[in-house]
Amino acid sequence: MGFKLALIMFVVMGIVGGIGYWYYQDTQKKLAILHENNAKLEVAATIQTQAIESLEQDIKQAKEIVKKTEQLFAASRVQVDELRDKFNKTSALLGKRDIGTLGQAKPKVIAKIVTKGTKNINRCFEIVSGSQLTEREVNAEKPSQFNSSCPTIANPNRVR
Amino acid sequence: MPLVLPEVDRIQLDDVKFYVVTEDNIEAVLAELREKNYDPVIFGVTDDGYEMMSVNMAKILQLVQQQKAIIIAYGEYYDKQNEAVEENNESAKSQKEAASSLQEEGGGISTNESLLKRLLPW
Repeated sequence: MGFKLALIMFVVMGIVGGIGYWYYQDTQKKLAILHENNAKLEVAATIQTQAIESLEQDIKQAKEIVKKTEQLFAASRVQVDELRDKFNKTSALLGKRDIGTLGQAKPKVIAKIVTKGTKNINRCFEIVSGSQLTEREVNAEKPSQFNSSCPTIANPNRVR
Repeated sequence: MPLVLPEVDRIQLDDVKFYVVTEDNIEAVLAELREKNYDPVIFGVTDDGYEMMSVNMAKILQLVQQQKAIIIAYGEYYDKQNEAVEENNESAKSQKEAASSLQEEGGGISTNESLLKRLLPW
């Protein structure tokens, strides 16, 4: 009787132990899978955070570039306005400047001025096409030394 | 491979000499042209026409400068984008490598070890 009971107990303990072992193994496997998934999710989250940061950085850089380009546009518009002002300048002493009247009065002087102006604007086109600035252009500091058609690009060291 | 385009041709412009012709000096100007072996002919514009021509030239220069600014801006943006993409790719690669090495280690939990060893790791 005692032997039978011990045998039954041994079998029951074996089954319980087996179930326990299986349960333990299964739980460990699940834990490993969960851990693996967690690692994958962490990587995905990190990559996404980096992508968002990169996009934000990209937007910031794009804004900076747009701002810089707008400034260059504004500088290029100033030159046209300045030229218009030169033709239509009005002073209290001499009244409204009229290149026609000036040309009639002093044709040689005006011819010299417009020839120089044309030479200047031609030089501006050469510079924007990539021509190197001359030493004289680089060192020009006074208005009399400037290329009056485009001082912003021809005379970087001008004193305003 | 980055896109490397050739630079635009550097232009070199010839000088143009202007004459201002009035009722009083027209004969003198024509005589000067004859003397310099030019045909005695003047292609003229009025004073207003000259003003417009000058402003037009300035506007063309403005356009060229603006186009140049846009090309430079695109170039700058393109370079920065490339740098950012490379950085991002490298970072993602290292992250994935770290994750795969973690996976190879079984997520830090070994299921192949014996039960006794796992229960009593010392």
